[in-house]
Amino acid sequence: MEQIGLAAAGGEVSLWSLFIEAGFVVKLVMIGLLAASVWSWAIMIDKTLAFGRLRRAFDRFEDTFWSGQSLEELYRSLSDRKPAGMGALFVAAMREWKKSFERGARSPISLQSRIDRAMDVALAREMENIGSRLSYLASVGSAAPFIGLFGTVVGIMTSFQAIAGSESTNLAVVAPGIAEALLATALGLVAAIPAVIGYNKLSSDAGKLGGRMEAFADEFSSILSRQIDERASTTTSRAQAAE
Amino acid sequence: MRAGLLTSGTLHAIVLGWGLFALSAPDSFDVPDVESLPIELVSLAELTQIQKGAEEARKDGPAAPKPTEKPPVQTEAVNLGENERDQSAPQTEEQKAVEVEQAVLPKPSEAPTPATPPRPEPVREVEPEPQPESAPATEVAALPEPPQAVEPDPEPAAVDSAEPLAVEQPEQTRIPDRVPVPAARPEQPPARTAKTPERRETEPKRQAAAAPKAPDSESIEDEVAALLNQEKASGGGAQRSNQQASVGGQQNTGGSELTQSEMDALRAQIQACWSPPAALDASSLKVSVRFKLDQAGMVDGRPSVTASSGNQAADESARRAILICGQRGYKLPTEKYDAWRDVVVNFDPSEMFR
Repeated sequence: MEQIGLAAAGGEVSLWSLFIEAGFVVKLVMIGLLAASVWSWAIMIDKTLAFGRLRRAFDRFEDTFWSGQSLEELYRSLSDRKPAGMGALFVAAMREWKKSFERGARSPISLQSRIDRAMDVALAREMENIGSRLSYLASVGSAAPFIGLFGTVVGIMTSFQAIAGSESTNLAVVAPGIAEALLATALGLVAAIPAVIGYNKLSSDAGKLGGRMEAFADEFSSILSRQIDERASTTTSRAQAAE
Repeated sequence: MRAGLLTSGTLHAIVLGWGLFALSAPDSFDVPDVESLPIELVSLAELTQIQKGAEEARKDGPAAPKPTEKPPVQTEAVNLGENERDQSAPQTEEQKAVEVEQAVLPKPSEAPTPATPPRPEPVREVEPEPQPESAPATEVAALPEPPQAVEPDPEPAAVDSAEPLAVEQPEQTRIPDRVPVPAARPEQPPARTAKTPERRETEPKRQAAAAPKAPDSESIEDEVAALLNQEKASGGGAQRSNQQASVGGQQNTGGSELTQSEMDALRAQIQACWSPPAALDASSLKVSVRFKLDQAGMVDGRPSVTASSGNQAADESARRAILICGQRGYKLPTEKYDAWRDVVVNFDPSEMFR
């Protein structure tokens, strides 16, 4: 009679039965890991799409920027909509530039440093935007295996207690409980491995985008400083001529 | 973000759904039929239990004498000074009679003490003991075969005449303090019977009694015999067994215990016929059944339930299992018949199905 019961317990090792027969804690761990996996995949998909969009926007912006179009015009066309990435840097720098000249500020050195600072702030904001939620991937990648391991340990503990209660060390009695407990570790790894890979890929992508933006900021800053110097020299030469 | 979440959720759902059906039942391993090697573990006891025989035992000695029963404890004799008699007990007529008898006999030292185990009593009664009639107390007395057949009686007439004399004239002579002669005449020990507890107790006393009598016994052989006899008789089986000494035989040399695998074999044979009654709590149906087997492995008589489970059906099922399988005869090593002639089997449903 006992044999029949044991055979039934040992025969079915499907995923669903493993999940259903697990204890409360193990179930909780499994559900949490599943949710973490869903969320991290959502982040990865979202970030990949967003980074692609950003890259294309950068390309387009650089094309228009170096096309010889007047910066004033570009600024006017961009400032209407909320630009992202390089556009945002450009708009921030141009806004500072225009403000300085509208108010009639004449100090070229302080103007240069103000523009740089405005671009730094814009760059930091953009980088934060790009790198947001990547830390979640890192956490999942490092913590999910441990969470899965915790579920496994708890499951094995309970199954050992059950084995002790059944007073049999038959493998058919021992195996299902351990398999069910190991499912938690498997889920932890399933959640962690893509998260780690995705995190590495996305953070290097974000680094590349940030590098492009920094390069653009430096270039734009040098262009602006050249402009400031030119304007300063023309004003001084005009003043000298007037004297 | 919503797009990513949606895509991720659907992907997970697809993978899980696929896993539920595709990974539902992994194929169980194909276990090839491995022919199991029977391994017999020879227990150490099998070698050490080889029974020690006594050389001087009778060739046609009894196979299995009844175990000895312990006689009532005899109190120590209280002999003050050189007194031979026990002051703690009142004199009995028989004591005196014995002494008289020995005084009358011309040469009591040559008169062989009765050789049968039931009759060492006259010798012992030289020492006044509280129970003069200790003969029925020892089981040795019940031994059927008279060992006189082995050892020829030199003077059977003397014995025969002495005994009636002792019985008939108890009161004619009262010489209580006379030194009784050869207390121990043991050079013809009946058969070397087992060391009954009584014997062990009396031996030191006999020795003490023999010492003062040494001058009376003329020949030195008596002394030698008395000394020789101090040796404890070795038992028939192992050193400490209660059994009659034997020359050592074929029957028990293999050790008399069943090995674990032999017990398992018997258990398997019985288990094949056993169908325990269905019950919720299988562990409550433990039954112990005792039964006897003959040499052919057939059940001898009716198995008796020694420890009932309280469930009549369970008891009957266990008994039935033994009888059904016993119709063919249990296959057990015949050389160890002594070990399985009387078997107690514990039926435990929770154990059997393991």
